[in-house]
Amino acid sequence: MSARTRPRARVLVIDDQPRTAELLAREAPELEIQTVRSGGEARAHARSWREAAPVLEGRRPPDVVVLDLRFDLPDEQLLPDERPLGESAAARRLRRERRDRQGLFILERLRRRRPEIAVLLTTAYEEIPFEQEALELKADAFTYAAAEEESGSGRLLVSRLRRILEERAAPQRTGRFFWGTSAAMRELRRKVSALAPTPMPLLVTGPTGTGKSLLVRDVIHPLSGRPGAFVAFDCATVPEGLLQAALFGALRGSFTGAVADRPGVFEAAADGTLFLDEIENLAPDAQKMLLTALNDGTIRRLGSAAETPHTARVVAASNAALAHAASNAALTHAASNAALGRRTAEGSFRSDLLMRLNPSLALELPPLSQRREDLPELARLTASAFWDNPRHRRAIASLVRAAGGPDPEPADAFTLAVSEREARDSASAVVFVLPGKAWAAMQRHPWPGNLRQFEMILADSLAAAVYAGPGASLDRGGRVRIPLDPRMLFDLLAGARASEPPPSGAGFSGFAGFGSGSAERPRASSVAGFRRELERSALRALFREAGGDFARMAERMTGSASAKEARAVRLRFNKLGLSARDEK
Amino acid sequence: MSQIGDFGLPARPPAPYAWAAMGVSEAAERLRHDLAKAIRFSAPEVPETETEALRERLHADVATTRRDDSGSQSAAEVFDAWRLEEGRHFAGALGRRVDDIASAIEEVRGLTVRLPSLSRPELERLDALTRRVASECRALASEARRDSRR
Repeated sequence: MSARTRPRARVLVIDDQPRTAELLAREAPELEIQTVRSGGEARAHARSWREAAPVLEGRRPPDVVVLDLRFDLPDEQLLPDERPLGESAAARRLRRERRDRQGLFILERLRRRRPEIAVLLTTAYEEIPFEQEALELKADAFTYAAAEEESGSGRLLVSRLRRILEERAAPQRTGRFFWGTSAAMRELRRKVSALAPTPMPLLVTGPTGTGKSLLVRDVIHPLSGRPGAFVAFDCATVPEGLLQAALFGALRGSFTGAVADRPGVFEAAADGTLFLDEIENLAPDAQKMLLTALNDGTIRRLGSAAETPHTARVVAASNAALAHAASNAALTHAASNAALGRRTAEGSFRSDLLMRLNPSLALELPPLSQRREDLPELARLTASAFWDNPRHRRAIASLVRAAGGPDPEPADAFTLAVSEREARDSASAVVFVLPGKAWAAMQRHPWPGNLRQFEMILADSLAAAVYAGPGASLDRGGRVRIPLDPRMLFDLLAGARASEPPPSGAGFSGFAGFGSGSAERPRASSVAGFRRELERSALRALFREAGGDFARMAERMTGSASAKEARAVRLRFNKLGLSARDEK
Repeated sequence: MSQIGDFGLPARPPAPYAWAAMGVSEAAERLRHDLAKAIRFSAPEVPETETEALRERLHADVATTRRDDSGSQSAAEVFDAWRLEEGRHFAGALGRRVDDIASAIEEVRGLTVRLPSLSRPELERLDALTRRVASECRALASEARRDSRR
């Protein structure tokens, strides 16, 4: 996790044929095609996992892997620790099936060892029959040779590869907003670039701590090119009675205490961006006023009869639950959607206001648990921010002096090492050492508070190491080591887990009452039966909470509302003897 | 659903693949991978204006279509090997499609042998043939897959 930059992007080709590597060497001389050594021979492509692994795990791992989907090697050669299949008819059939997807097996291993490396999967298919698996394994892009009627598949591959590298080379932060390199964030980046300069209202969605307000303040507003101010307004913090005045302004004497005319946030954001945070908390009357402002482009100060045009561009933010309602609203319109229908029936949010906020174009920030490949870069940037703080720098300098090292001055003179090996290999003068086990725990952690929580816990650990740790020491390579305390990190992670909020939305309570003598506690004559009843109860509760929507159930259970997950939930629901019709 | 090793990947492709027809579909996909992808692997959208550059690219795409440690195979040899192993799967309309590919390949074979001395029009003819072979292979794979889903 050193802060130094790389001069040339490194590419590792994993393919049983040499032509991809040859083409890249010829058509993309700006890239370094990594050499693979096998049996005393050097070549520009790895033909198997066995040949690729040393490069992937070496000191100079690739930036991008170009991986073929189909190999002609026997499994035993491609994946050396696989057991030979034998020669039975079933084994032959299995071997044949596997041949079409051998690249996925390599991708699976690669993801386990190097989740941060981009992968370009190449195939001759018109579509990938195993696309779901490929997506789950986070392939960054695909090239479909068969889709190219006129030009060669190799040329398409080169252009896709360059695009991946451009995206990877883009700054990881814009202002304080962290992008990362995960597929979801790269897609979001493209979407933001397209939508930010337009005048249309936008909806930003995502769980707490994912950076919604930073995205609007540091990215969308500057990209909009609007000369006016960025004004943030938290809909949850203003009492209902004062909302109209706060949003649209008030005339003197319009209410007790209104001693002078005052503008609202719409006027303050003239020709700029008005960011309405936590819009789901907006009171119904205020929703109606906001809808009018968005529909007609006019506002009216409290106490005034005159309507005046406004020029603020509205960007609203909401949590994931509203996002779900919004996206469904876009597809099915309000009344037919169960979740939104319930909200509408409750009067908690107006469907026409949601529609006005362009829910189909919503900018969705994924939870950190769905972009774990971004953790190393996020950790490095968090450490950089800590390092850049003058107060921390002074404290670090005194630790370094006490250890007998030179004053750390250059901005990139530190490394956050997440293993002993990385600490040994570091070329930096100062190395913060995070034990491998602690880093592994951080990578596994669900991070309910998302980026905010990650940054806070890592910054707390760094501060503890600098201000209350055992001090620094000089290693054999002349580097100053500052160890982070793994016990403290585990404690912080455990605390974060204990404070994890219930699943988003209307407060799923499927398990909550079991420990306190709830009437819903299941009874059974055996442990297995109890387990089954427990699962039935939980699924029934979740079914009710989700309004009978299996996609929403899947989202709450697994974080993914994909059709595949929804189908799996439905299957399990039915297998437990439950019926959607009966439960409704 | 059975699992392969510790990878958690399903051993079988998802429905709606019909098992009886998997042989045909798989064989056609293999041809697409081995031949259609490779025979125009480095081709630009329009043929190279420089004759020697066109010849060089066609040499890579047609004369040394697939390579490994034991040597290289031309496009015609790749097709021959495939037909020997998989040709029995194809009959009827799909069989006629294979015959069309075979007839294009025969012309490719003849031109490949004389590649170093081919004139510009002959090189362009060979380039057009690679396009036809690639296109026919793709069509074969699509039709075979459609059949397998019926």
